Amino acid sequence: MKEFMLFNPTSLDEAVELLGTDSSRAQLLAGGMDLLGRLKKRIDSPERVINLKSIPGLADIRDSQEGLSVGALVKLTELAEDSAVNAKYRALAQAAESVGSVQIRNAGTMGGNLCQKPRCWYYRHADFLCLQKGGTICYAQGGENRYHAILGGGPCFFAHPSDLAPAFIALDAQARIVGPKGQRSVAVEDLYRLPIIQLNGGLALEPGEILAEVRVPAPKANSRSTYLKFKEKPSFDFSLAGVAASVVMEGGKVSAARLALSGVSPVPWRPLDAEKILTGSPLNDATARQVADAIVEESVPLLHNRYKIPLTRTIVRRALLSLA
Amino acid sequence: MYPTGRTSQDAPEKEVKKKRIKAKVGLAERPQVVEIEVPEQELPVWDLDSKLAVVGKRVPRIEGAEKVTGQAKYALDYVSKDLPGLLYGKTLRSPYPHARVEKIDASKARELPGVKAVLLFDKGEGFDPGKILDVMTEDAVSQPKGRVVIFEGEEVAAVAAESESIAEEAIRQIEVKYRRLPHVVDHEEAVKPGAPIVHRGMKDNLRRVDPQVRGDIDQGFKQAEVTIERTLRVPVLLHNSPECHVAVAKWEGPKLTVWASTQGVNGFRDELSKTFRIPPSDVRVITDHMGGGFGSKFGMQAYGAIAAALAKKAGAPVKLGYDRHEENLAAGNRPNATMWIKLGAKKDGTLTALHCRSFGTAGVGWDATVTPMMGIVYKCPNLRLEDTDVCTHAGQGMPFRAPGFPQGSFAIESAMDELAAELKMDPLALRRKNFVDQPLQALDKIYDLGAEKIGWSRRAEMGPETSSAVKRGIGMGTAVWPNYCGPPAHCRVTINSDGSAEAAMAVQDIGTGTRTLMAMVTAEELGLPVEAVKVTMGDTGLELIAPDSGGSVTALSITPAVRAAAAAAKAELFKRVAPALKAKPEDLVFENGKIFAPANPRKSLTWQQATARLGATPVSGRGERLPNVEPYAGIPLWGAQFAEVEVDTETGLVRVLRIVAVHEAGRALNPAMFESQVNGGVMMGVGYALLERRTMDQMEGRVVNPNLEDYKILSSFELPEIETVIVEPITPMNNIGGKGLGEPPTVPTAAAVANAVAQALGVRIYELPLSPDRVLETLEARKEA
Repeated sequence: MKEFMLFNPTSLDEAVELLGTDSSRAQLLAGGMDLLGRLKKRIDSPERVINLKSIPGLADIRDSQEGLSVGALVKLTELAEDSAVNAKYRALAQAAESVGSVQIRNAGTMGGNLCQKPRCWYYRHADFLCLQKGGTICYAQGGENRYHAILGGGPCFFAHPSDLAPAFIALDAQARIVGPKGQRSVAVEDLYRLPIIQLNGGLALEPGEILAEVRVPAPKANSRSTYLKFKEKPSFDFSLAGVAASVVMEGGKVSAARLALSGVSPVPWRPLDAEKILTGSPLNDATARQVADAIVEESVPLLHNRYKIPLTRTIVRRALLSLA
Repeated sequence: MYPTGRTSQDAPEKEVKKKRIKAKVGLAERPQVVEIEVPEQELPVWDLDSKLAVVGKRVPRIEGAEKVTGQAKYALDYVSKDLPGLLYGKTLRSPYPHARVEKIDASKARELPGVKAVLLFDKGEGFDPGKILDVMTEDAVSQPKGRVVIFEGEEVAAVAAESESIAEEAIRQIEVKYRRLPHVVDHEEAVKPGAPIVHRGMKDNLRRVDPQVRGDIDQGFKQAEVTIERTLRVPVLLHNSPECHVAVAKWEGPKLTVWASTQGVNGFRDELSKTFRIPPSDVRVITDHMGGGFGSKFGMQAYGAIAAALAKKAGAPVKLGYDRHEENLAAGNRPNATMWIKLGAKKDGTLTALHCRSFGTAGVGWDATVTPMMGIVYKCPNLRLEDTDVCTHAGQGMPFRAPGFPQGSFAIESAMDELAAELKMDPLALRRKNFVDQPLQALDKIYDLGAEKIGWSRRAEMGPETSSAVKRGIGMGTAVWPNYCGPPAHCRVTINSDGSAEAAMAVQDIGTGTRTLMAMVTAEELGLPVEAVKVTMGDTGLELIAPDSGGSVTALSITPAVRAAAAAAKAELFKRVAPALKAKPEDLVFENGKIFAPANPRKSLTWQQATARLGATPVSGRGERLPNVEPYAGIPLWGAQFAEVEVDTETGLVRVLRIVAVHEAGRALNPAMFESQVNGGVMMGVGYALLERRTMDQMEGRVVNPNLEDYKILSSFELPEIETVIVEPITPMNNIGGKGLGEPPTVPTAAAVANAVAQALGVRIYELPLSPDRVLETLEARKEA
């Protein structure tokens, strides 16, 4: 990797200042699970690396009546093992548990998981200058695309790797962002932009902004949630298709529902039409099948990833039935 | 044939006196006494009547503690603390699969502080490690005449610098102007007329291997009452040894020492000697411990040549290794194959004809042969086996644990199961019907045990008809690998005055436990505990030639020599103490802790008393591996594996629940190490079945998964339960009674898993790996049909 200056700021404001607004010159370090690989392969060669671990107060999980607050530097293992998260925000605990390996979960953070760069073998190979890296072509579209997107793809087709993002979206979470212009709050769902809107990773942060915290509203009465992820290598892999589902039940029927998928689209995919079908229906096999069909209905598979259609159908159906 | 490290120093054939001896061999429950002819100095075979105290026991690795505590030193571990002034080398590689190198400008790199040597590989057409002195220059700027790169990862230049990061930066500062040329990386495209030619001077990309023919294939198919015909495919695999290729080279005047991660110190030494035009005696190659090779680490290769060339140029020791990305482009692979196979049989299952045509690619290298396995695994009077190598613009193939056999196994075992279905016959019964009967072979027992342990009869309740979305199946395949062990191997055993012994040999332990076997056999022959034996190995400086480790040859090439050396050392000790015991040396024995002549047991010395008499002059003996005893050397290493799987038909996920692996290696020298070999072989085989495949972008001609993230290998969590069953037919082929085991445990695994999956689904997938995409696509296609 290229040599860089490492900074250890002690406040978010200092970190924002050090980060500056040119992302090619500075990168944030939390767990380093995504950054280290990019630095070693020189996908990114920043002059400055700003270590967020030296900032106090970013690694707390706080549960209260209003809801849950997760600091950006909370480790995935802590999230997966936290008793309040397991009891009340099941999808989030399951999503954290499903990430990578034990070692990755022990180092990787919540913020890092949400802010991952594209996980595509063309993007991660130094010699392919793809669209996301300022090139003019998506090599995956007509090339090797068995792990790629079936929904929302184009002109880039990577599949979003975050497991926490779908869980947070299903739980209607808000992200607290700190930047040069101060603080703002944004729905986690709105952190991600399709490649047709924005390349360069698709993360909807303004230059110089840092994700500091995610807040999840307290669960409503009779609500439950889950995250189900399918991995080609069960012990340690990214999502080939995953879904987070959160439902509120009333009189044997779903009164409110939020769904979000991993591994099938360049963004954590929220299937609004499918949510509508789910809302007002009993949670049974017939409903689950309808919802699953609705999700894949608009899919546009590439040459080598058609299998993701039946796979997504299965994962959605099984996730919903597990909530019944 | 498979490389076995035969070297220029092989002993010349000489007239040897022979004797005839008897041995009780085979399985304990059906022993056979055979009479064999052996050289006069050969020891009696350790046979069924031999009472062995150490050999055959579960002796832990003697270097185990050293390894698990991090004390064991690998070539990768060397740093400047170990070798003052050590520099770090790095190789510049082509990012293109096919291009003309028009200009190399290394002037910036040479001026970088800390850079001590820069070599350009700009002369000649390509980079051949054996010709490094002829293809390299030390220019700063070069406009090469005919230099062409023919695969992504081909070596273009190299640097040595004071740190790894300086070396890496220097590589990036070398500017190369390439003019791209058309490429082809898919073997099925490379066979077409008009495909870009990989090797200049060839008219196409094909090399047809002489077919193997037996009987009359046309007659065979005429006699057949049932025929089946299928095409199967397997992908290119990457070795991914835990330790990547690495060498540390140091010159002292004209003498060269190299610490290397290699499967053959002798082969490596010989190639260095030729390449750098110095006598073998001026080259020393050392491998104390190594982190796996699996066939990818024979010979000097580019890493050895470049390390030595840089060290010479810099006048300082140089360490040069590959990172994982380089390893997966340029350090070898298992070739892929497209295999068309046709079987003919009588209604009772008797095979009448076997025809296979296979073509595959070893990239810019050679040998994608897959059919030799088919010629020996089942009895078939008429066969025709045709292999064609197809060159593509990709890294060269290398031997990969049982070269060609897992590929061939997938084709023939799949075809055998489908033939069984056509014949409405049990798949195992079909194998038994066409069983190869050989003297002292135990395949019948291997099949019996495997079927019993897996519960073969439970197959009847499995398959696609069950109501659950998760289906189960059981399948099997036969393991076979020819016996390649034999001479040369030379060992020296020394007995010291403190009662300890040392066994020395220029052989390497590639992780299989060779070091421990040397200690065990020495201890057995001397009558000592294993702890009393020290082993010195992995160093060509010992000049006790032994084979390179590959082809399952090491254990039984070397241990007969170790035993002979120990016996010779013991005889020397007896000579020294005979006068004190007033006996003839040849009358002495060492039993129950005492050395004595049975005619006069009262007069004795303990081992310690006897060796104490050696004083400052220890005794030593040399032993040599004598030729194999025929016809027993012609009997392969047999086994069979049985797999039970679970397939989720809605996600396409295959889980291998259990593998019963029944294997024989003649005498099992150490059951714990036997199990280790089987565990490793099965693990690689399940990875082949379920996950592993090198994927190349066709348009750019590059590997898209040269890493361990997208090239997926099995983790311990995906490991099935492995039950190893040892069958032990003692062979009179050598004085130990054993054969070998390295390759067979990975030969039938993928085929057995594929057969189990086919039973579970009721439909077969004709291409490895059996990954979720393949399973789901196959099931969707069936739905649509």
